[in-house]
Amino acid sequence: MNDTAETLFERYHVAAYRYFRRVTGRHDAAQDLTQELFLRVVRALKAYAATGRDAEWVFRIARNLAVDHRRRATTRAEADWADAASARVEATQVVAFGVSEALALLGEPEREALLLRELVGLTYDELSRVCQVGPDVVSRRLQRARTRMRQLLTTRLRGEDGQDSRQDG
Amino acid sequence: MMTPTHIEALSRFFDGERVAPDLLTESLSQPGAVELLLEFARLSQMVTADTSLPDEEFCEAMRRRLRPSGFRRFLVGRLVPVAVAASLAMTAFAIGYGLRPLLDPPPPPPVPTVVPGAGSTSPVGRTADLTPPAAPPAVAAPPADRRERVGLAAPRPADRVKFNDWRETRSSLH
Repeated sequence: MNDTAETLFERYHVAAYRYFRRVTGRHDAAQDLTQELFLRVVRALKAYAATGRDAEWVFRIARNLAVDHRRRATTRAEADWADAASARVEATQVVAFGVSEALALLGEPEREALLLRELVGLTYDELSRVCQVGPDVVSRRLQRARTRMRQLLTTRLRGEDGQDSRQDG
Repeated sequence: MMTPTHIEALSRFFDGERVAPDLLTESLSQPGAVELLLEFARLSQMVTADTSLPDEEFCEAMRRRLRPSGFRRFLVGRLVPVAVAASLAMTAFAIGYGLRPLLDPPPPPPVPTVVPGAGSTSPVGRTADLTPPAAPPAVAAPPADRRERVGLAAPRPADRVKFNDWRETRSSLH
């Protein structure tokens, strides 16, 4: 592979940052994880030379970082972030959810499949290698993720509130 | 009736993945199928509509760090202090060991010494003595008892035999 770490950074740092931001819900945590991702990329660059699938490779590392981050998230802010979204559903049953809140309510496998599909554009085969499951499992996870998101974002998905283009962090 | 299988088939179709034509036909013929595809499209737009970006300072710092020389500098910046500390510790250790003989010389090796006089009265083989050498004996005259043994000492006054007369002496002997 002729790609340098700098090339891979230019190609994927925005997608990686947004992926991490969706996973953590925080700007600073997303930047920290993006930095860690590309430092790991640099260290593993020689080992990668034979595979040739850079997006899949980079986001496999990113996905592992995200999983580790979720496991050791002891700063309760992020857990509270998801809890607050849950409470909001139970308390009001409204559908005016932000995308981030709705994503936080997905199960982790469904969320990572949806984010890697939508933000990075990985195929089902690539997703199956990144998530280490079969392509059929990936397909079902995406179906469940979309079904759940439809339930949470019903009004906005149907274009009834006229806020489709609203920016949502 | 739209089943999860139909939704999954439409989800795969939306993502450009292979779907069995019969299943796709059946799924698309379900009521609400077109609306479902439109919702998938809106959902995709909403998820990808995030325009947030990392800070420009962060990106510049990462670019500097990821350039080959920059990464080397980064590694050097991290490794050099550790290497310097390690070498200082090793140098201090070596100096400590190097100076130790000078500061604290070891005792001289034991030298077999012959104790004067020991050979004549001691058993065979007891000529070597590993005890620290005693002060050499004075070169003065041998001690009085030794002089007595060899017959050099002058008789003490108490030991002197007074010969007054040979006859008297002879008679006292008998």
